[in-house]
Amino acid sequence: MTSPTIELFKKRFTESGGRLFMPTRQDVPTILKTIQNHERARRILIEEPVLRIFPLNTTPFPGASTEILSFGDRKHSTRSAHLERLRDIDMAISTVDGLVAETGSILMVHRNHPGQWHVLLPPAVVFLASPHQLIGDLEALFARLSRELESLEDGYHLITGPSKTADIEKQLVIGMHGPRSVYLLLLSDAPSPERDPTA
Amino acid sequence: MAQTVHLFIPCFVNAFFPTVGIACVEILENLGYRVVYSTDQTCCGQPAYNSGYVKEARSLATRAIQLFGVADYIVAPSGSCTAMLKHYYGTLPLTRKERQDWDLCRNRFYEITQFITRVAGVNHWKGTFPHSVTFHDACHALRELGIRDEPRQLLTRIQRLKLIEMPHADRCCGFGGTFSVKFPELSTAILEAKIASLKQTGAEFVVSTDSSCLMHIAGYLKKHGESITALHLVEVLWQAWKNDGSPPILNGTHAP
Amino acid sequence: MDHNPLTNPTRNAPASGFKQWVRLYLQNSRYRENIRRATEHALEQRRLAVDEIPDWERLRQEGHRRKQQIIDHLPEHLNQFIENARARGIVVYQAPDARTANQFVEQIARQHGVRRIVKSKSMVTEEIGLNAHLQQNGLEVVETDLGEYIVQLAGETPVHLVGPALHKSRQEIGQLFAEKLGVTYTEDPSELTRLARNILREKFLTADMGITGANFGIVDSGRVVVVENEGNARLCMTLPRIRVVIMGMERLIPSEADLPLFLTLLCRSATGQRLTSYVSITGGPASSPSPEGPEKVYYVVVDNGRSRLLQDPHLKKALYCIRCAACYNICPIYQTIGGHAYGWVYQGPIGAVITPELSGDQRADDLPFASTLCGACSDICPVKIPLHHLLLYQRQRIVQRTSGPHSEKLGFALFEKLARHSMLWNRMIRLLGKVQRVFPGELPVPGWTHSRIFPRVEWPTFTQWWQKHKRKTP
Ligand code: SF4
Repeated sequence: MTSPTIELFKKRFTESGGRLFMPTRQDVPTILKTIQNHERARRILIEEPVLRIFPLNTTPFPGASTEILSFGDRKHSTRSAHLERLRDIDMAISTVDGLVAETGSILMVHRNHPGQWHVLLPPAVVFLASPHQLIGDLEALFARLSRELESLEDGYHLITGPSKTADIEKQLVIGMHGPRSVYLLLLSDAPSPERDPTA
Repeated sequence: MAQTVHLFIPCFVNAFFPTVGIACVEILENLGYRVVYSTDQTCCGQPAYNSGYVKEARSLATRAIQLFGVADYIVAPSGSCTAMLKHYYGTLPLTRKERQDWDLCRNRFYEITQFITRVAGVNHWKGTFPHSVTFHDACHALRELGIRDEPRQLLTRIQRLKLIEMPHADRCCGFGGTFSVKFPELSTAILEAKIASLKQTGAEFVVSTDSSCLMHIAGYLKKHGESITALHLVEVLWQAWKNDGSPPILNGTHAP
Repeated sequence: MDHNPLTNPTRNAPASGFKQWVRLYLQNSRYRENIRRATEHALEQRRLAVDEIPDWERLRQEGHRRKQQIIDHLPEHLNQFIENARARGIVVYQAPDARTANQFVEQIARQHGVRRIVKSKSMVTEEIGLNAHLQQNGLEVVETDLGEYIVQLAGETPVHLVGPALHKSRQEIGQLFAEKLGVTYTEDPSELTRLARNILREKFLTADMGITGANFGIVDSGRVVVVENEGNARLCMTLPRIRVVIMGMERLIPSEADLPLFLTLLCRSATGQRLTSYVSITGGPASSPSPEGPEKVYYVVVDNGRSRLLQDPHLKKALYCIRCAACYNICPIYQTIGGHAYGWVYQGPIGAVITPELSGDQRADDLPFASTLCGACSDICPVKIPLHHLLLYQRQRIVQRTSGPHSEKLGFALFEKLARHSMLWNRMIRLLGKVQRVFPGELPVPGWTHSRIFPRVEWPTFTQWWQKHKRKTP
């Protein structure tokens, strides 16, 4: 992945209102703690695949409860129990399925993240990604996706910055229905995520 | 031998703003063209066409086409009428013969600013006009014929003329032909936005390529005692010559 | 007068005529100020975003071409789209008109024991009057887009395709919230937004059904695409058990490979963004069991007069529309009177073109005449719909189809007779000049002289000057 693409992504992601860090694996715990502090997060949800990139369970967040959302949980819990579990989360940590430099967007594929409640309901979301997940522009993204379309039965989803509205006098307000804070930790030394359909 | 220009004068210019037509004659003759005009000419039919009256528009269109004869060019001091002649006639239900006649004309139609700059090749207007001027883009000239830079090119080369651009010069003034009397309050409300932006410039004159917009703008300015004067572009060009004494010989690249 | 009771074109069009509405709204300076500020802001945002794309013109051309391909063979594409959607386990219903669409949605709700419905912004549901129908049948319907929520609270209809409440000032919204929600008055947009978020979050968590529109339907995958900024559409489509997508039958694009183009055209034209915060490309219910996402997905594909547009070789171009509202924002009419003065769901230039066909209502016949034909709409349209030509075309159709104002018909007949004979024509001019000169004061010209001086006939007229000085004829 060429560095101009990274530079473009950084610029566009930040312009869309996201906050970007480019830490090494070593720095991750400190950064996460800073974010947690800043967001005053007391209930933190970690999506299981994150742990395969980074062993976060070794990083307890001070004064917060941490839980792991696994695929098994998604399979076996009922709708209401699952909702009960997710509704009061303050901060979620998730992997991504791709990044688009042109627009500064994050790709989430439903197969890997069914429903994606965890990135919609909490006020803050932290994404972990690695530079090899970067795609140049929308054209390249959809060209790649088109090869995968049949395996993406349930669709996919692009997130560009935080949830926002300008419905009152065109004044921009961040954090309407979705998260008001979107963080991305672009790990410079991360291994390839196992289930990356775009890689 | 000099090339011939058949002048097409919009019906309301003929009646209300004859100096615009006279300026056209003076300019074209001084550029070395032989100017002809048919006193049989009336209206191109646009008011009927724009109101949805195709039959009436067609009748006047076929009549107009018959008047043009064999002149090298057919030139009008109006983007609106030129667009009607050049583009919209083609959408009328003409007979084959009528369409052939129109086909023989359509590539000879020019709005006068376009004619001066593109055909006569004059982009450097020699003359003096010691006033501040703001330019209003007439919608049809701008969007149907793509005239945007030409008038500004001509104006900015005139000695001591100060061109002050108004905000949103390319927005409609609210005239719209029969619209202006069908929805008078709405037409006036749109006009008021245009008046506000031209007043912001503090210019003494508002200039455009279509007398229809100017009739609408000037009508409001006069009614409300505003001191800004509306002028057609050709009036400014002609006046700039007169201010310099006699019209200079112009070296247009294509001037005959 | 802030309140416009029109909810639906077929039921509540201005009986007193569009012109009365225009006069009424012209007097509302606060409303007009809000509209102007919002449209100027949107235009500026758009300009910045479009300037980033050097080959914007080519993209528009391409958008036009791809929509043309779809619309020229709409029935085939529609069948294919529906077939592909069904293969994904989606139940698809084609609704010929508003009534059947509404009944179908009501039936789905009954079948699944739905009580509360959350809904994201969808113009087609406004067009068919879905909310009113569902509410009359005892269902709770909550609009969740902030702007839509505001107009729903106010009992109004959207004033704009993209910004439903952009006619309201923060003070008006503050008062509305205080009155309807029993909260302490505030006019701080962030605070108002937070209030709405909290109320609506509870609705989301307890809703049984989510309704969204669709910005695009993808023919070769049967998926739909929803573009939004707030995240409410995302929540509508994933939180409730039942998901319903309502879309006009023309909303199709060929394949997902067309999305880069159409997302670029739409987002940049509508809000001046490179991409909105959320773009969702969704299919049917989850293929593997999951509590997240809907158990059942329905598409309701609405005709409701679109076939009438499709039948006409010119008007079918109006079906290329991707509902970006750029033509609203640039239109001098819309900028001056705002959406409510139109009295119909679709406003601005595109609304004036399609409403006469969609509604089949003669009261919409004034709309195509309410235009200066300045052409700014055609210039800005991201899919190059020749809007001002279509307005002209509609005028012709209306004149042909209706008996029209009798005086106008006679007027143009007389005008044509006079203009065919230069002698009569010139006599008329002389007569007018004479009357203007003997009339004490200004000769009144109906519809003109209340605000503008009418010019006087000049002697000599150009023709007279020519006869005197030149006498050359071709
Ligand atoms: S007609 Fe064109 S400009 Fe108007 S809303 Fe539709 S796509 Fe946008």
